[in-house]
Amino acid sequence: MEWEDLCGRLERRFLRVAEDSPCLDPWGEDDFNALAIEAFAWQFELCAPYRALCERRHVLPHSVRNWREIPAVPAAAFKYFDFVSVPLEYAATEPAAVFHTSGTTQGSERRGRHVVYREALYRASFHHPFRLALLPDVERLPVLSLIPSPNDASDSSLSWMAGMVVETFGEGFEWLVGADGVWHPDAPQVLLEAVRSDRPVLVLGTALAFVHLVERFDRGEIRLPDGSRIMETGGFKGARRSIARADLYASIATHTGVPEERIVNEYGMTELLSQMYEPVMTEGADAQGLHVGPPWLQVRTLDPTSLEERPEGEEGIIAFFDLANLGSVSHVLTEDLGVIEGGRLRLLGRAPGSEPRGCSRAMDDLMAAAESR
Amino acid sequence: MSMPGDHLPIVTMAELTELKARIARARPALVTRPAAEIAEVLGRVGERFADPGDRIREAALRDVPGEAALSPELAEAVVDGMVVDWTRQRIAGLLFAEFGDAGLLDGIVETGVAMDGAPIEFASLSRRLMAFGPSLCVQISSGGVPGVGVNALIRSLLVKASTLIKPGAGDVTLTRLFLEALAEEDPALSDAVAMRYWPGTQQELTGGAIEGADLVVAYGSDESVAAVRSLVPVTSRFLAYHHRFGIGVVGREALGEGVEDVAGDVARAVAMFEHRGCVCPHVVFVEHGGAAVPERFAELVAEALEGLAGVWPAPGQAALAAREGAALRQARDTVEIHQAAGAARMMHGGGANWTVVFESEVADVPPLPGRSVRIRAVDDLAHVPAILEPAGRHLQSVGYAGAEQRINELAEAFGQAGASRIVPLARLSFPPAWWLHDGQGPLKTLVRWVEVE
Repeated sequence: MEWEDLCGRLERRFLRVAEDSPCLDPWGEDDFNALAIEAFAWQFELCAPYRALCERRHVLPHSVRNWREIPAVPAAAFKYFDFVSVPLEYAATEPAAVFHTSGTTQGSERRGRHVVYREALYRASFHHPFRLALLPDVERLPVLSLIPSPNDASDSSLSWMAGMVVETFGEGFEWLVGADGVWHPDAPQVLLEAVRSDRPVLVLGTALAFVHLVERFDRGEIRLPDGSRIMETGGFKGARRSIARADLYASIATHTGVPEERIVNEYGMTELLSQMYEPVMTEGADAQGLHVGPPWLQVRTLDPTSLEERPEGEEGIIAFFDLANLGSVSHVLTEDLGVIEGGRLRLLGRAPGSEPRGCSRAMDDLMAAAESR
Repeated sequence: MSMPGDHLPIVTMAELTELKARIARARPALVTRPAAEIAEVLGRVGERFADPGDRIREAALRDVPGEAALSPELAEAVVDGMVVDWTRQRIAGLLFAEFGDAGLLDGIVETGVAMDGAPIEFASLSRRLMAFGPSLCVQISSGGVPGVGVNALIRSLLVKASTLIKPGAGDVTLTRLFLEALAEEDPALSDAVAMRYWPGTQQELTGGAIEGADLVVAYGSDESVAAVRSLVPVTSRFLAYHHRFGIGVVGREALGEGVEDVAGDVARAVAMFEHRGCVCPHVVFVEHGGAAVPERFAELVAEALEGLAGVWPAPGQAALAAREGAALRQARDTVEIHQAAGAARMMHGGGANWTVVFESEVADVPPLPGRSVRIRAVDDLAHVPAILEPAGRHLQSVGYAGAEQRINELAEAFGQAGASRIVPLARLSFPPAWWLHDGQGPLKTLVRWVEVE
């Protein structure tokens, strides 16, 4: 089937990347463009709400010459629509995963959904970018995860990713934290054992999990073996308790002995199946602050009003075109602000107060109730 | 990333303790002052904000726009709307509306001659009463709307409470200027008040501040009110003004001649405070059967908002515009997908931050930032209260136009649904000083009563 054929081609491209170009160098513009337009044609055909938007904007697959013309869907719309672009044969089956956006500290607001049918594509897009960012020097490592396991949090794309790390690159693993974010009773013991062994480990966690980690142990108590490394993700955007990142990393480094050039920041979002990383393991701590995406993920910054592309170095709202999103919508507009520098993305965070607040949530409740009438 | 309030000096725990001791020392003098006299002083102070030649007004108009993220034009409209209630006449009116006899705050007063038909126990009884304000009142105010802090101070001082106020980060200027002017007018009175700012996230400072308070009043989002509530000791009273929202209802009677004026009233109520106030309407329900169809009304509101964008521009700061632009883009593009499906129609100002969504069928649209309003057609306004009931605990004001003949009946149903204020749309933005704020008398809710039997 043609759709599966495209999936297969993409999966092979994603997995072959590292053999051709160890640095995940960009693909040629024409190469990416052709695949992007092909993906768009399928999404237009298979996803009704997306097609309605494109028709409203008079953008049709045969009229598109450049992927930049393809309408982008706002990330917020994942809260209101299921963007599913898979053939009927797939849509009739159980999805491989249904990821929900995490919501924020407020808890009660509406959460977005990303339905994934073709797991292989997600796995393929995960593999090499993660390996190059975290394990450029070794094949496998014991994994200690401060992210809940996919069994405990099956609707979290981050937990799913942690599961892929364990399966693909783990040489033994421990889940230290439950779905509620609470540490397992034996977690401190597990960490102390890792400290005593001389095997380097890979630690995964959110910013908040590492805050808890450094608060929980005395300095030097959990000095991890040389060669250990850390993937830290999320937790800065819109966090009410704003932690200065530099402070957190310095604190992680002094507590665990893992130097900053081995603390890798990952940027991902539920609405995208590809991830970006800061390549500090290969380039050193100077690479902090700039995220690199794989060649099948294009990132741009746009003027919020006109949606015109901003030149390098100028702030705008971040838009992604992710070929790994073939089964949903590839062109996604975020609420985050950023700057492109040398093809890499510098995140400027999210507007304080841009999350729905009390009034708006009340209105959400109201409208949800009205809907059921 | 900078957060509102980052530039403000932050208080320390030691300083808070010292301030509370200072305002406590001023209270014996405060309680001997007649409430009517305090009202007179507060009114004189408030009137300076309306006096074009006064440095207090000049400073307010200069500093409020930047701090509250309002354009100078809108900031002036906000200040002018607020000062209406800060005059001698209105503050005396507030005292009268709440207590009838302001002497109730000054000593035991014999009140209430029983009416005919009263139960026998009350037939010849009058009551001897006195109202006491708290000795220490801590007001944790919010930053969305400038002037909330001054209102809180006026209320506190009228009931003779020594008051420590933490204004919201967007509302420091007016609060500070009010205290400055008070110190000039009446130093003894101003000694009973202290203002300091600290970020609401610094829970230990909030906890320290409210220690020893008889009454803690918190304004703000549900989250920030909940954070304060968790710190209040069982022996202190806690008064919460959590998040609320307004709505509008437009009866078919208002959709004929003069409909443009009604649309203008809606637009002004939406744009006032940049739609950050609890009185701002989020949805306007428009009745079928009038001369103009509800969708036409939505168009008129859009036109009025476009006009207002010139009169009251949105704030000009580029950083704010970028962030609001990003949020607006998310919401508008999501609504556009609904629109593509035929469930809604959106009109918006492009680079101007107003958005009107007309819902032809029930659409589950996202919250819209900026000056935004949803317009929903209904067959009969009598159906609206039932739609609102699930959100009743956040419902506050209902602005109306038309339906004057039916309004008492509708008001009962809206009250049942949770609303506390039913008001003509033109007056939605600025409730009078004596309004029943979230259903309670603003002064009565601060006092405790003593009765001589």
